[in-house]
Amino acid sequence: MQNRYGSPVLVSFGITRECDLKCPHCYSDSGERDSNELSTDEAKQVIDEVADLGAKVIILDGGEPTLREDLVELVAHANDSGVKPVMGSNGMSLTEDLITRLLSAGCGGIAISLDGADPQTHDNFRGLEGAWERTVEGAKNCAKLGMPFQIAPLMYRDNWMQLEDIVKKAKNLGANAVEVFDYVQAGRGRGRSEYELGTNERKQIIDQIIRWQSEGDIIYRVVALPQYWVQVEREVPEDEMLEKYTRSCCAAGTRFITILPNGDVIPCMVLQVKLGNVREDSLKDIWYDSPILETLRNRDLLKGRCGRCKYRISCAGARCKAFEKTGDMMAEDPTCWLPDEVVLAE
Amino acid sequence: MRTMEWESNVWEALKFSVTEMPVFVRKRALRKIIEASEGNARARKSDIVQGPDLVAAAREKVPESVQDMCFNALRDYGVQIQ
Repeated sequence: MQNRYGSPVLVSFGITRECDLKCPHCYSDSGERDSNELSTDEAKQVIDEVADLGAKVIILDGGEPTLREDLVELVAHANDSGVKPVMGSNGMSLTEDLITRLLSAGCGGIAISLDGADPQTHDNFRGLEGAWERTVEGAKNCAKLGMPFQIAPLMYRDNWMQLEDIVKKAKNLGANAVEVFDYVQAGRGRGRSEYELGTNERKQIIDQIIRWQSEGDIIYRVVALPQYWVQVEREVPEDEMLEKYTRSCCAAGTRFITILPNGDVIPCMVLQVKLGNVREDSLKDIWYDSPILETLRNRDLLKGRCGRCKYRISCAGARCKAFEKTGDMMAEDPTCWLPDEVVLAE
Repeated sequence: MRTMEWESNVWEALKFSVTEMPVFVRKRALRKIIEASEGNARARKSDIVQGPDLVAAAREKVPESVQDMCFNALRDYGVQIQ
């Protein structure tokens, strides 16, 4: 028992594929509702399994979770089951009424996707005129009613230079964190390399976030860009790192697991390797016994530069990018720019 | 904050797990774990903090809600969890 891998910290549960936006990058290829979507009873059973597994937080996302009629019921069920429910949303349907009901049901916070400091950038990418205004309104409603929220921008070719302004906007709105996602070519974004950032852009984003976190009036998290943490370890004094910075290594299958609206289980929303389906397998069996997860957790099995890297545990490379590029989730991170003399173990 | 020498993988494992904790609980948790780990090392008359010292400290001082997170980090760094 003691040698068994411990519980996940976070479980992402995509409760619907339905979405009212049309983002070209969408990792979950959302749009129409899936006819095979888990029912309310099935979703509650999944939540019970997540609680039983010992996860601390369940993220109800999608698709757009606010489009599912039983959202508040599922939030309340999670809260009653002892796993803290939070949400990932495009923010457009976060009315005062819905936020009030979510707070009463025990929702602990909402991550709101905002990809531009101005309406044009956000709306162009999200595929809906007026989306930015509605998203910002949703964030304002959260702030007004005391719902904790973070702003979660996806960084891609056309908006990365707006990050500073997006952060300013997040602070002005009253967000308690900014969670920056690097674009991954998964789902509908598969093959869309024109959106992907280059090394210089990624380096600049990381440098900015390290500097801002040092100034420290808001929490920054970084997703799908684990080189951020290598840079933190190399540049930030240890005491300051321990006090202020939030680690961002690849957590797929180690701290994190994802359940899709049809019950499929994958290591992470952007590492789309099927592990099983909750209609046929128990989540506990998948988490503890999946040979795919066993491989993923063994950093000694990483290949190429990642396998020889002295940061292979604290970074691990973006397993999603390795998988999308090569079909091998243990291959080296094809986007890592850190030079050999920095990362390769002697 | 440390007053003794730590085996490097044990210290790395602690850093790894602490930086995953929410920032508002970290400072206190880190201080308590370090004190307990070093106390455990001294109790066995060692000058160096080793894996079992940290594992025992984590069991006592880390809130139950983040214990698995901490133990996973220790495993990742090759520290045996007995």
